[in-house]
Amino acid sequence: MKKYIIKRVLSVIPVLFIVSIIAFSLTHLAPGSPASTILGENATQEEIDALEEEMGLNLPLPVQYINWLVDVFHGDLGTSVVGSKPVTEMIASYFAPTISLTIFSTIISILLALPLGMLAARKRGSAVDAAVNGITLAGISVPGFLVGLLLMMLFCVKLGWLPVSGYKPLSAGLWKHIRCLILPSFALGFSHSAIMMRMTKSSMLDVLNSDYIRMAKAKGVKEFFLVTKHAFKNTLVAVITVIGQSIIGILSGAAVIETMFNIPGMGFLIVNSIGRRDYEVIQGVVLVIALINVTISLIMDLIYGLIDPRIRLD
Amino acid sequence: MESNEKSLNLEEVRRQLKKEQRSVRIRAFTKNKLSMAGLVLVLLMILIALFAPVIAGYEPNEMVVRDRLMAPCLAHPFGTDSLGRDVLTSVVYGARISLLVGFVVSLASGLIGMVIGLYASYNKILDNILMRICDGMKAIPNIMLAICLMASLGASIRNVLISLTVVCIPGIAQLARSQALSVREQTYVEAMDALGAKTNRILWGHIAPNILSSIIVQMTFNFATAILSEASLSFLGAGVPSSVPSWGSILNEGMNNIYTAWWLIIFPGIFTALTVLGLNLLGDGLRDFLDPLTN
Amino acid sequence: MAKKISRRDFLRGSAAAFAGTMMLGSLPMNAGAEEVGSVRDTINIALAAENGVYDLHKTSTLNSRVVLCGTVYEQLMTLNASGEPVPELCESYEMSDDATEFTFTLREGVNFHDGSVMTADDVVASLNRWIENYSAAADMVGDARFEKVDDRTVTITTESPCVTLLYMLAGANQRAVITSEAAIASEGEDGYMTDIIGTGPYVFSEWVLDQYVHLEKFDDYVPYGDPDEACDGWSGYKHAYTQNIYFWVVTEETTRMAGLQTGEYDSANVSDSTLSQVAGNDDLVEYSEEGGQKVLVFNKKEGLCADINMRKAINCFLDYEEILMVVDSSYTLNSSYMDSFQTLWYTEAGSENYNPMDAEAGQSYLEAAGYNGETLRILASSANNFDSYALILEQQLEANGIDCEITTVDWSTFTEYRNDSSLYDIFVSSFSTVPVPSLKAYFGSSYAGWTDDEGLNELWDVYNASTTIDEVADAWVDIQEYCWDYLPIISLGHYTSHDVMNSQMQGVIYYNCAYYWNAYIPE
Repeated sequence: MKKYIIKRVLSVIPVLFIVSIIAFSLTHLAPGSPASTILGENATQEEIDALEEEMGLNLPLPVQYINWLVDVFHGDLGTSVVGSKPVTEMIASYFAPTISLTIFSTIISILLALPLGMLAARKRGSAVDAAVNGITLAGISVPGFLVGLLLMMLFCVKLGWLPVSGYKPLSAGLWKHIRCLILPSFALGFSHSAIMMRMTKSSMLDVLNSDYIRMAKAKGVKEFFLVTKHAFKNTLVAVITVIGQSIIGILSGAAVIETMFNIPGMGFLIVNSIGRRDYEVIQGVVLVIALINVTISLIMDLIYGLIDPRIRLD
Repeated sequence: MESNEKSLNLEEVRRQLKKEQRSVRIRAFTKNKLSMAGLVLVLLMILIALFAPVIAGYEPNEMVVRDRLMAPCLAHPFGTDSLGRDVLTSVVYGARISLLVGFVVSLASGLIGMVIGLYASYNKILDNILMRICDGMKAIPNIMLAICLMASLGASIRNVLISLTVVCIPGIAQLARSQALSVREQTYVEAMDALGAKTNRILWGHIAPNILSSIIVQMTFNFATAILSEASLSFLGAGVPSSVPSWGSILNEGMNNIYTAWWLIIFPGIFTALTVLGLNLLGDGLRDFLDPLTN
Repeated sequence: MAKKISRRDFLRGSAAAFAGTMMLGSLPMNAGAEEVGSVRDTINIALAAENGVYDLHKTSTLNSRVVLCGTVYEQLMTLNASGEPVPELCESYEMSDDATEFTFTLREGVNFHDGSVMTADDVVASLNRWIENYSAAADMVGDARFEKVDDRTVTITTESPCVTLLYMLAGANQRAVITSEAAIASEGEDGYMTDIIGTGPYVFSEWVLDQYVHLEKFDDYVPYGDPDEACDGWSGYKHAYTQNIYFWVVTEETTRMAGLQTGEYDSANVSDSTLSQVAGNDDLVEYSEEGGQKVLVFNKKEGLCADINMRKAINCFLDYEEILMVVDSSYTLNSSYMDSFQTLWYTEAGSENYNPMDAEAGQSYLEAAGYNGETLRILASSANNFDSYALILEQQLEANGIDCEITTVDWSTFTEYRNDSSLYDIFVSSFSTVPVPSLKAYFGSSYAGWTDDEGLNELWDVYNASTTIDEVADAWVDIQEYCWDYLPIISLGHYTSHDVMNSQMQGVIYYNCAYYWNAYIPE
């Protein structure tokens, strides 16, 4: 086991290295430069050139990459060209909203998916099952921003129950914090909860149809007890996979939803930074998000390794 | 030689068995109402795309600015957008773009991903390099990778195709690799390996056909993902240029006019949702049909 | 019913009362001090974008100006409602007859937010930093710089006449704001001041990039003007009734509009398409105002449009109004390069070539240009719906046999592409209001489009040699007339900028766009 853990942890390094190359080359190949964004609409080419030189954007790309990488190893992700703040500081301040959003939408999707998925499996062919199928299909087929938009129109504009936008940090109070994240979390979590629901249902069915449950049933073990304890425990592995994947998926979808609901998270930061050609911020965010993703899959893998030793052999 | 002959006979039996299995599965597929509904939806969209000029009452991109933002009426059943373009026309021509994006992206990423996966499964060093690159790409969220790509390539259909293909490749490659590895473990491939058959022959003649079904299933889902991703990219202003009538770009315009022009969201929204729905249903059916073991 | 107030309506209503002396700006609701009871301590304004730079000497971005100008920063001179420069931080000023010597006497005892008192040293340092960072100002004054005469007097002596210098000091888009010497010394590695220190009624108290800017009332503010009189343009007594002003960055228009409806924001700039939401909502009121020019800029360095006949042909084929209405249903059609409230500069010279819609003449120009089916390349950014203008432009030109190709790119890419003369023939853009015509960027020979014509340069020489305002205004009429023949650009017309506000809110200065130093909401 120890060997497996070490091997798995070490495998993260080349991945992050690749990510750094991808992030760097993507941002620097883009036409346009932060200098022109800063100078405003009336800037001439000479003014732009002068500022670019000042910002070190005229060095050869490999040199810029190595400079950046060396800094990264010293824990310095560079400085944002707008607002001249350290990228690490910016990421730190944009981090919390995305984490909150991810946690809330994961919770919402789990709360929706697990009970409904299990119920649908238990009562196969019933109205609940049909409803779950419907939700699943809708969740997969309707784009997240359309869900978000419809929700916004209904709950914010028509009913006036929830704020349209404007993120409130946890320090402003738990309820205020939750209120501003309900809709975006739901819009984000909806499609993932659909996938999770489907997964829960099918793995639950597998387990329910398996010999040992049938045996237990024949032995007269109470059904409720069966479903919650045995079957649930056995579907857990499958469900953990989906949860892991949906956290990654939610991080990805955050770019759209955060922009729409004006939540100052990592997705919002990257979309704005691309518009401003703020290279170091884009690279920093991509690197950090990749690190989170890789860590999540690492944890998932280690959990499997614990649950099912056969996986370690791969 | 002898063993070769034996395997031929074995092949014959296998083929026979497969044939029977297939007919059983086709019957199951056609009996599955949901899969059939998916197939019908997808075919319907393809028909709409093919006969766009017949269905649309106007030329694509024909602008009558003085008729901008008209609500649905007889002349414009789906209304008009802010440039005075007929939305029905844009939606049916948009079907071409969305289906093109879905088709090209799933096909290209399927092919490239399969090639990568196959060769990775056969060469340890190559495997390490390719799979680490795939891991690296997968570690970056899809939409983020796609917007970064779009920002550096510039807004055009071709670049949307390239970006989304790049984003879809790692998934397919990893699937192809793991499937190929498990096929390789089957005795007859091992035997051919031992007999010194050419790598390419084994890869393309024996392994590829066996992993094709799961790749196709995944491609169907990628088809749907590509359509949704294109819509998301357009929403973020990083998709196809607004001169191209794609559902994503109409939806994007609808976002800007949400208070005045609900028809700009509802109609392309319905079309997007139905197409993706159809593809998902079809994908599920195909999985049951082609790849019953994974379900 | 919701009220809709445009400048024209307002003018009609108030012309009698103000006897035409006050053109716009301070709306009738701009009350005197004694009428204001208790007010809400915070107002919230939603901005559509933020470029992250608040060093106004170094940026021309409108949103940075809306946040800081008049609130945090003040200037030596400012603009009144008819677009004329009037004193703000100076008590009086003098311009020599040949318009080369300018002397300003500063107001006494003006406090900076950092606790220091404004001196001639601060003013000299600020204005010279402004000149050095603003090419239009540097071009005008040459090597001349501001100098201190005594603690309350500064002066500048230029080699050639600079009649419009006062206008530049008052309202150039890269603002000549006065900050303290200490703040200038706070320049970071990137060249921007990290301390935003002004003399205005509000302190730049907190800024979170992409989220908000928080302005807080400055208790030691030293006002000028008559507290009982409404502001005249940007000039006049600043009450600062409200304790806190928050500028929230809200990029999605739908979110801004929805926030206005729920009362989360008290003011926001929106586009025409969401305005219908305001009708029938008594809580909201709309302000509309000319915001600047919509322009087609020709690439005169190389390609098809380097030929004047090609430009004339294109001009004949266009339907200006159809292009303008693509994005907004309110716009003004006239040949003036400057906005209608700029009474000194407004002229309809050249209107015979404005929107000619003469396809026949167009064809003969096209022939004269020797056009033979080459592709005309149109460059547009996807920001601000410029791509929509490009689409309709393409449709109009193709209908007349010109083959077009549109390149749509995001804003950053656009700003790079437009500086490359090999990439396009026309680009679509807008130019916000400037206080003097020479500041229109497209006249610069190094600016995209490369306007560099001998005839035009001669006229500019006359303009620059003028020693009185009247002379310069006459010179401008000739320039505009010439431009409508030479066509360095096509000025399609003037776009309208719309702000929607909480109908309870009063005291907003609506001059070119909304400014908030006197804004308040009764409780």
